[in-house]
Amino acid sequence: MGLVRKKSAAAPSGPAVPDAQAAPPVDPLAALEEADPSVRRDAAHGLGHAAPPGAVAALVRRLETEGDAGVREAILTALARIATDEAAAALLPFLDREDAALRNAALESLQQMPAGVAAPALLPLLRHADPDLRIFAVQGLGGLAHPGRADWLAAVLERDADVNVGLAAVEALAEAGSPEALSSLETLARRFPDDAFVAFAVDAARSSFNGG
Amino acid sequence: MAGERVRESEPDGLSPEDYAALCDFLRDRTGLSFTEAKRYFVDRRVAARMQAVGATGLRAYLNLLRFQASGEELQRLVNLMTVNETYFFREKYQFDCLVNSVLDELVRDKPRGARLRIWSAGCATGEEPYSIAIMLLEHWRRVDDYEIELLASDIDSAVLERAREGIYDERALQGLPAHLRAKYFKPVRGTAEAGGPRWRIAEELRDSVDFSLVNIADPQQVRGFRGIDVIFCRNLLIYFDDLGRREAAGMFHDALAPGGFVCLGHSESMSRMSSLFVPRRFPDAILYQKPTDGGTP
Ligand SMILES: C[S@@+](CC[C@H](N)C(=O)[O-])C[C@H]1O[C@@H](n2cnc3c(N)ncnc32)[C@H](O)[C@@H]1O
Repeated sequence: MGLVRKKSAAAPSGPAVPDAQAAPPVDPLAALEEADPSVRRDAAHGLGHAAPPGAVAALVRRLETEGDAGVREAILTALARIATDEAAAALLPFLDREDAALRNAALESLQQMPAGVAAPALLPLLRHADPDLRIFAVQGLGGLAHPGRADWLAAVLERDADVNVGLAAVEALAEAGSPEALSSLETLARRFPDDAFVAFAVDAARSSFNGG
Repeated sequence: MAGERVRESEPDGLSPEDYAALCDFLRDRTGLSFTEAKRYFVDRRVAARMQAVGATGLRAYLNLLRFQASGEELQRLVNLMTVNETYFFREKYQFDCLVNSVLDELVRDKPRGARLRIWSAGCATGEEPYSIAIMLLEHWRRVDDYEIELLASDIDSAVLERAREGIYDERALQGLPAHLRAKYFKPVRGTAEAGGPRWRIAEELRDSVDFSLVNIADPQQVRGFRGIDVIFCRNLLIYFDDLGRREAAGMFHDALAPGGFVCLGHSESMSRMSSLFVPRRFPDAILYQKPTDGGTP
């Protein structure tokens, strides 16, 4: 026992390339529904790269019922790679799910799309009735490298009726190291003068900005 | 690069559109992601290959890369574009973690004689898998109770050739304690015109690592790896973009046995790549584990 001798010194490709050529061509859209999760995962990966017509719809349909974490991840990554307006729109309904992991993964996939695709999808959510979704939109937009980013976050600070949405916007600014973070906190403090947490956050931010 | 201009009108190499087209192609095929900052690096290598094959322009060259049935030219370009830097006992704390904690945990529920599979993905010239072999033989007291299979792979065929040959110079061996050098290496005789002295690693070790040509950005090629207990993939995903890293993480998840581990380089963190793994803090290192239930929610 101990270290196993390699199988054959002569075979240059070892175990890893099992007749890839010989595999019969499969329709990746159909393969998404196969019983074997690794077949589904590979199909999702392939759809992300080739993006044939119908890919987004098929991926989303599968995501609705997919129980395997790896396949789910592959589907979400594929949608992020396809990165069309259709793909971005298809992810939005998942931000509303009970399943927090799925919600976060959907948001992450949106953020990994080019900012020009992700932003138009996320912006309308800033007006959603549910503050949790507005927080998600703020987090999503806050992570995008987009020239409109600071203005969107500022508008949230000025207008959003929910203090937690405002705090999410401050956090997004602070994360990016924007010096505006302090003044926006002060904006928020003026709008929510009775909120102890906001007062505390303003003090903490002020001393960290001043004290270095 | 005077006489080897890519285009008359572009004295500085590829046009921005051509550069972008080439980078897209390479990212899709290899996962390697080159930004504008890497332009100088890429331009020079592509220009050299275009001249070597007599391509008249980038379109012609891209077509060759895409449609050549043998894939030979793509392989040559890849060999030029990869950064193969590595050495023995690099980031040794992870090997310590393997022999001090991880292996004992992995065999806890396995009978004596069971098989363990360790895969070095992106092994370059072989220092990483050979270091693992040496660590196992030297420091894991149960090494003889199990059958340990060492798999190693890379996308670069030239470095794999050198890995199989197992000849190293002083620089690669620097991190290795002298007694281990004496035990596992033999000086290579002959002219030293290629630089300083060189050593060849013991045949026993060369025979224990199964090297293969695998592009980890291609699921077809990774498919053969199943039931792996530990994957080392260090200092490779830094050359991938975010989505490429996420895809690679997914592939590793698929290749691992439930409860298996991934070791990444010290500047790489799985939490930014994928939520499929659980970080595990051991005394020597943080590793990422595939949940024992396979991770199905
Ligand atoms: C800097 S070396 C790291 C070597 C070793 N793992 C270490 O940490 O010292 C990176 C290696 O990854 C390989 N590589 C890059 N892209 C790859 C891909 N898509 N599939 C497999 N290997 C790849 C390169 O050829 C190179 O040998």
